[in-house]
Amino acid sequence: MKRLWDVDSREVDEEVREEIAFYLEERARELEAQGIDPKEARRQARQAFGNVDEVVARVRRIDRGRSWEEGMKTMADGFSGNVRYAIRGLLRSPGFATVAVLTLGLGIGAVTAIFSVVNASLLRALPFEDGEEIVFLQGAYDAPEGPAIRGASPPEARDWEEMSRSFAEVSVAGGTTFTLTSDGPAEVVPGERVDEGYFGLFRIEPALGRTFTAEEYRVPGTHFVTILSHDLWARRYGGDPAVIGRTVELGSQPWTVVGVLPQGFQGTTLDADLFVPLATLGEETLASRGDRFLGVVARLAPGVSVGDAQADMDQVAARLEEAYPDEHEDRIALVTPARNVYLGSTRTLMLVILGAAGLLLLVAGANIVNLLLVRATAREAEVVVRRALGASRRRLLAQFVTEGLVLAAAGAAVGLLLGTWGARALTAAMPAALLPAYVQVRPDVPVFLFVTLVMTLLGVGAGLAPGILAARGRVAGSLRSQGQSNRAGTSRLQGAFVISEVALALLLLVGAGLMTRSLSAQLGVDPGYDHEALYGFQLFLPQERYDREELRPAVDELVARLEARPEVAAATLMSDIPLRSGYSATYLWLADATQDEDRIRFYVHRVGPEWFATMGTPMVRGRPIDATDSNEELEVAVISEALAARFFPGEDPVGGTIFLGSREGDGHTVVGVAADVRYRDLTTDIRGGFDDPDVYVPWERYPNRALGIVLRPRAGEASGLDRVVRQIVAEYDPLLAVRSNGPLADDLRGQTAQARFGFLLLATFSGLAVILAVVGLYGVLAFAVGRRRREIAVRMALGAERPRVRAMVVRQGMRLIAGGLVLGLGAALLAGRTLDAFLFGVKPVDPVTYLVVVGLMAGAGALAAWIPATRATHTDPQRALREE
Amino acid sequence: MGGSDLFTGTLELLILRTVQETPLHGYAIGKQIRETTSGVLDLEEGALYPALHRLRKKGWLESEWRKTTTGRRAKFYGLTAEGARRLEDESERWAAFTGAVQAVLGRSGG
Repeated sequence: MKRLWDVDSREVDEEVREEIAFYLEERARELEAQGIDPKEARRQARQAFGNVDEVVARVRRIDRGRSWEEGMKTMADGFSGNVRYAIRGLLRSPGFATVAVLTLGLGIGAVTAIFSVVNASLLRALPFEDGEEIVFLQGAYDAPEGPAIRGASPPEARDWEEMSRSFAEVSVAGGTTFTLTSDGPAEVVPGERVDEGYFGLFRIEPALGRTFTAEEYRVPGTHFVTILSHDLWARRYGGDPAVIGRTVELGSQPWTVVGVLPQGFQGTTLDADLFVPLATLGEETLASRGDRFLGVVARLAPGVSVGDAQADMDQVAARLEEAYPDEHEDRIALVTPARNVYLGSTRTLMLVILGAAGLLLLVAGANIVNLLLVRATAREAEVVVRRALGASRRRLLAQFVTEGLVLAAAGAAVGLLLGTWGARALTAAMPAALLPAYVQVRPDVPVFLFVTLVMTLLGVGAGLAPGILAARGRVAGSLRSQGQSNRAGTSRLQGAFVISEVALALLLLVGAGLMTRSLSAQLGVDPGYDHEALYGFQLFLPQERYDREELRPAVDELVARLEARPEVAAATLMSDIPLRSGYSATYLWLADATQDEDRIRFYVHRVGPEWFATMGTPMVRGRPIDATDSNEELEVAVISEALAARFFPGEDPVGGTIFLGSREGDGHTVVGVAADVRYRDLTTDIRGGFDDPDVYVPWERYPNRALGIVLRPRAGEASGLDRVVRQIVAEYDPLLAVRSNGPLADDLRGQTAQARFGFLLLATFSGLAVILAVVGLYGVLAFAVGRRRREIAVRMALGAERPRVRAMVVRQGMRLIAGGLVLGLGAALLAGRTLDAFLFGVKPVDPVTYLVVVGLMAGAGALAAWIPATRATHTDPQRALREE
Repeated sequence: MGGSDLFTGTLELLILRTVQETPLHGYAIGKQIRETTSGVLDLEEGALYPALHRLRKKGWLESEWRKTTTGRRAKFYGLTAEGARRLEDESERWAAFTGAVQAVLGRSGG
């Protein structure tokens, strides 16, 4: 093949050489005829001809077609030539270039910032080996309004493991906290109770020592052994290898350290520092089927999908419900990938916001295309001349696309800077609750690839529109008519881009508007207590140090000491602080209940005397729980307004009896109705029955070990109490650790974090989009006015009034806006539903939002139209006409 | 690359125009172009051959070895039907171009 080819090309060369030889002979003869001597004539002929070998080579290339390498080289030469040409052109109009690069940078920056976060949280690997296979089996109560996640009991977890067929491994991880009281000040340390198979499931080998033995896992209540996280080991034990075998005190009890885990693994809770066998809880707790306090984690068997596993667990749950009708009524197990558990609804929010950033980028892109179209029109003459000179359509198109790419590349550089900075600011501003600890936002390869992809799409897109328009222009006919037909196309295209910009901006505005309304509704929720003033912390009084009888006097003493401080106006205790964990729920029966099935699920709160006064929770009826209730024979309860409204409609519940926890006995007398307190979140509709109601009983009658204390400071900020509280508690008992301490207002802020985050980003993006759309509209109208100077001049010369001329331009602008508004409204109606999950107190189709947003956009558009319209009225007819 | 557009486009147009009536060999084409443009287009004469081969490749010219009047063997180039059509188009383009140039020159001059 090769040889044939060579022969062929040699033959071609011979032919060409023969042609050239003939030419040179004839040319020399011609010169001789002019009286030049033969030798000199031949020299001149050759000189005029140029390098024969080079010409032969060129002809050979033409005849043979170009080889791949040569083709690439020509393309590369052409590309770098185009790039140089584009850069020269852009440098000639620095104003245009600056605006274009900044606009693109803004759009690319927004998308890059959000993508960086999405990439870090959704795409990058979990902190587990083959983490995508890890799922959580979440025990849930299958309520009519949707499953409510509750946890699993130890026997339930074992049943799941034995009865399921979809998992390579199943194990238990029960998040808990320990109070570490040896080797330093008492410290609350997050930890996990784990069961057999746990470390194997995560493919974790200990960095030091060993993991737990089968016996330690299996024999209840005997082997008090623990494994430390690398973090805790380094922090508290200075990385000393001698820690293995050492005894540490957890809640004043001795435990033996048997191992240290490798760095980076902190359990399913992502912050666990201590691991202990589940069996240390003791036989009784492990046997209780109704005590659902565990998390269950599993690794999917090879080839099993989450859907398959869910179907498997559904049949397991059905069989369990059959076997244990009481404990397993309406109990299901949800199979949820680990990533979804960690990200929760933040995942959807991030995607919605990425979409919003994408819309902003589209608006920026449309603006660039419009700018390029204007430029292309301004360069009409250049294009026509280049076409006439034989520049092919392809070459013209390549030139425009290159210009788009050069702009996009500069924009991408700016965008990458803005985006990296933005992502950092974003994560700093992002409430900790929204992103799990393993998410580290930093620019990496996927982010660079993403930016490059965005840049290429934008560059090609932005270059194609004006390029196609320019290349389409036929050179036949006169320059003028050519120009005008091209201009009509350009202005139609520009109009279309402005319309889409307005539509996209409107779409973003609607989103921002809905989030604003939702946020203000959330901020407007009355939590039912004086959250701005109060400060709270939690304590755990371990059994080893405090007998049941000692609890009351101990807590009374502690509260008294706190109240004695000048900084503290009042202090009160409770089993659970609103919006901090530690709720417990059980069932109650009304006096007229005839069977067990009439039970009502409710949350019970044990509260100290003065609780209602200190918290600032108003009584709706009757009296609060007070100091006398702890000693009287009568059992009393205060019920929430929601409970009263739902179960005592039209009646006065005060004086009535309810049966808490059991239908037997004398029951509790309702002494008062308190305003609803938002204990679990701000937004669930308790009155509507989407959450269970609340009942208060005297703490003194049912003292518990994990308790909350809330203080009302006398003056100044609630946060100033941290030091006071630590000091008092340490004085009282140095082995008690203060935990979950801080102003109650922080918990409320945590509740609105997602709404504020979504609002902030959507508001920023929509604001930028509106500015870009308005600038785009202004640009197009200003350009149109500039082009119609002559026409306007003629009109004015013929006596058109200024207001009419102005109205003409404004009308043109408003037509574009109206088109954009209609399109945007349609899109918003369709897209609004994606926000539904994040909206509170406002429907996706909210008339107020729509009205305000449309008004805003129309107003901004009118403003953008007014300036060029006014300029049009200042056209000087004589000058404008002379110019043409 | 911008500068060569003029040259390439123009040269090709001139070649097509030259062989419009009758097929000619390379030397004759070159000579005629030189004479008709009175040396205004100061081209490197060698560029003629790549242009000829390019036009043949595009199918606008066809070529054939024939004997010249002096009995020498030479390659003759003639217009194809496609070439004839292109010549018409290109001439229009050319007119548009010169019109454009004149318009530009006229405008900036006035």
